[in-house]
Amino acid sequence: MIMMKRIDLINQKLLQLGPDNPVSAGQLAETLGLHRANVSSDLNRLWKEGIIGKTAGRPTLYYINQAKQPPFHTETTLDKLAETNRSLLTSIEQAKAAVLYPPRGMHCLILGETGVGKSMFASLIHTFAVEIGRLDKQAPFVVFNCADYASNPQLLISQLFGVKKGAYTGAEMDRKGLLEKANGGILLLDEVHRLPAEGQEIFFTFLDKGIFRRVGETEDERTAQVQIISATTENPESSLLKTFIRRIPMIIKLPSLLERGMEERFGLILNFFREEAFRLGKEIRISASAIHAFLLYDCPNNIGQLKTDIQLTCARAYADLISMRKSELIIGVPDLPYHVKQGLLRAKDQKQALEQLVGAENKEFVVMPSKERILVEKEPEQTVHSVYEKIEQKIHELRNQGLSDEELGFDIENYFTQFIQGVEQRFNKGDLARIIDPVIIKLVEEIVRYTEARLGKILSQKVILGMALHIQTSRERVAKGKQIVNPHVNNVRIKYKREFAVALECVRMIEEALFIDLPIDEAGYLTMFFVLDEEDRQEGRETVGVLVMMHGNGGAAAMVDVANRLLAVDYAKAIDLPFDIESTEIVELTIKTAREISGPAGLLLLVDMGSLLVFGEILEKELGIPVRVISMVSTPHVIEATRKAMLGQSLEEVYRDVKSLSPLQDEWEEREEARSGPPALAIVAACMTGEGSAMFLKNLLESQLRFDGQLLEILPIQLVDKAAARRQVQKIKKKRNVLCVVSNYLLDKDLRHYGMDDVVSGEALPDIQKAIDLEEAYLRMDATLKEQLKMVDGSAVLRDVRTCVSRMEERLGIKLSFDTLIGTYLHICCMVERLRDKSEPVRYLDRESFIEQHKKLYTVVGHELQPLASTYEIAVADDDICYVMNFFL
Amino acid sequence: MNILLCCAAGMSTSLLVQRMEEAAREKGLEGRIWAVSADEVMNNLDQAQVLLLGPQVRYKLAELKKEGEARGIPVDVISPLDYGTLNGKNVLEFALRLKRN
Repeated sequence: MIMMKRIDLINQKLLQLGPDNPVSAGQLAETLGLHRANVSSDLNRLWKEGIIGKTAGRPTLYYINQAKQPPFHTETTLDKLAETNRSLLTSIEQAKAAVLYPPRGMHCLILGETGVGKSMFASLIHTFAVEIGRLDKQAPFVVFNCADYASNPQLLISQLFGVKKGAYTGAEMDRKGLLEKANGGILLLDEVHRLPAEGQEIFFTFLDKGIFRRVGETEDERTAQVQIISATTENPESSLLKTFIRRIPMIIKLPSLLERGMEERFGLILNFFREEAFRLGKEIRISASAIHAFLLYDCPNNIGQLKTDIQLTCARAYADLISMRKSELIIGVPDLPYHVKQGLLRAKDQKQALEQLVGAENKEFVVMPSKERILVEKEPEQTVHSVYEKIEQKIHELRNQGLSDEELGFDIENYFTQFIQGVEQRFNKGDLARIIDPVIIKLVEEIVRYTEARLGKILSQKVILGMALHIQTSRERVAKGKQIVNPHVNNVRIKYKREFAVALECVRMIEEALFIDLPIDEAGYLTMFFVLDEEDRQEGRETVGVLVMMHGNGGAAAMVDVANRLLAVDYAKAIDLPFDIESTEIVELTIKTAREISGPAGLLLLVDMGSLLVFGEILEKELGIPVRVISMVSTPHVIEATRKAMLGQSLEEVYRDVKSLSPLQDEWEEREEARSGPPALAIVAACMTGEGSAMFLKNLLESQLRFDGQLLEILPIQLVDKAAARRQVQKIKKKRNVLCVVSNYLLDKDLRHYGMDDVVSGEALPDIQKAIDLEEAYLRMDATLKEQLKMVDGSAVLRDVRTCVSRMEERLGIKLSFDTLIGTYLHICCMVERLRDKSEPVRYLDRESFIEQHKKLYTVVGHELQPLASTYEIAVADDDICYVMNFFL
Repeated sequence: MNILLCCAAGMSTSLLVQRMEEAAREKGLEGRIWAVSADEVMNNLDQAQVLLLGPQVRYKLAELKKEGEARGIPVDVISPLDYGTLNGKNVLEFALRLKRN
């Protein structure tokens, strides 16, 4: 904090009051808690300098002299920043102007690459606004990262604008949004390009008129005095940002590390080392060569990365110091991370510049642990502090175990990168976001941070992922009114006292974040997660094996792969059953695999069809262990089974939980069928009694169905040997799009089957006809579009559009009639072409009221068009969305 | 016969117009077939004898039907199937039928 001189304090107060509120020396002295005589003399000085004016008469009243007021009297944080960072001068002047702009500052947008310090800069703007008295000392600075909620617009809106009680299920009380929490201060919207369409509109209204409503409110309009600072790494030419920029007059561009030049980089490096020295309370010595490396290495993530790399280097040097491999904190080239060392390869070319800036190579830099010259530190200190504590702890621990100092060279980099970079980086958010609510991801990040700090250990990836899934399931269970029971809760509580206490606190965090009530049993589960890593190492712990068996090629392996990958383990096992494999082989293989993965705790078998249920009995007999079987397996089942089994639950518990699992979304299944471009169509007719009746069936179908012989062929096959018939179908499938199979036997579970009777009686024919029409029309369109579209590949677009439309149908619960479907395809294909072409945008008359009338449709259509928009790099406007909506009305 | 087509941006229908023109040539029909965007319809309506709407502008049917009736011009929506498969022949027939009725 900067100490202000008394005279500055007085000046600031007057500035705050403005020219229209003259005050007497007495009043001022009282408000500021100063001596009246001192205030008077200072006021006189300010008056002489022409900074303030005074009224005639008694008592004399003083007021700020707006015109003559120099911008700031004291050195502000931003000024300090400017001193050593000349390349930021323009940005800093812009920031000051944005804050000073009457009456309450100007909204602004900060542009810059990842890691250039956008959030830091925003927080400095806040500090500055407080320093000069534009904002109150307690004025909030609220940060919101739009990317965190980008996939859940509703949630984002409620976070940002608040919720009225009863607005939706679960909204049990009125809740303030961040905008309200930022009232009187600054709201930083980071990654603003991720603000979804739904949020933009409301947000723009706020920018334009300063009003908003909480979700669910219809009448009262709320106001908030908030200066908005948005930040983005995106190109401002993108469509969202364009609309944004219209409303945000001030755009501040922060230079990349490269653009800032070597001299500033040098200053930054020393500064970061100084910060570390201050944290450690020890001086750090750095060789000139090490500094050279930091100056020259490729640092694509800018200052953020530079800082992390320096922290990492210091952490490593510190570990060397306390493991007594070195007697001082010294950093030389060998201590640097590999990619930083690479910088020295460029040293030759930059020799002159380096020598000028840093000095000859044998020189050494010493940074002292004083706080001087360290710029404000806004980030949470404890995470970084704890790195050093953790190193100490870990080394003591290892030493107590009797390890020699050489053996102490554990993998610091790996261990502590995690700490420094924070929990977020350990999530593979892409995978997770597909199945886990972002709220839960965020919550788990908090829980992990808290737990790691309290228990002083790092949780492994599999624990974090398992926990996220677990909390999601718990919430579902509670929502459905099912109970959460943990029969081991008492044992766990006694065995792991410390972990259990932490788990109880985590339960409270979950309850608060998700607005649910949880039983104490939940703490038992969390405790089991916390100790999972240790338990793993204990020998002989028995867990239930998980085995997935499915017909076809690769289905089971794919499910198991997803589950194992998500949970970061190699636990569940798969057996695929190609149709041509002999049944005796299957049995042998299954027994062998089951024996490898299961012990006395038993085995859970997940299968795709009832026919495999018998394997449960076979395995039970062969292995002499309990086996349970669940049919109609899906990937969520496999995940649930795997993580429950990993936790050491009993077979019955795992079985019960997996069985009661409601199917999650079907998003698991890639829509392969919509993707495969069919070279030709086929209908397979298979008959038991030999080829003769299959031919009869073929003739029947040919006479009863309308189709183009060029596009579709009806293929008769023999069904004497079922395995052979299946192989034949597989073969046909590889070359053609098989519309359906007419047969009394299931030959391929992925294909539509019609019984012979249904075809002979004519019942199935309209259905088949419909499928033929659709596929034929589709093939014709494919041919036409290939010729007609110039900007894009007609076939590819059609295929993608088809996927996109079927998703809309699914989400809306509407099955478009065949006619409409074809029309929709063409329209959207042409839309993509037109938008690629960047021709005149289209207008939809009365767009706003149309959207208002069909809000849900608008959201779904807009959302489902997004994949197309990103694949073909087009911006889909509301008008375009409206036209597409018409097909669904 | 002059046939006016209307769609969102005149893009997809202009493909259809090509097909209809081919079909019209085969039939030896004279006249103009052209496509405009929804905004432009009113400026073109007086020159048309039939007005056909793309399925995506179905929402304008009621309004344009009224305008058409006032001028004695039949107005209807193209079958989405014919539209989707760019079946110029069918759409031309459809226009002719409309006019005849």
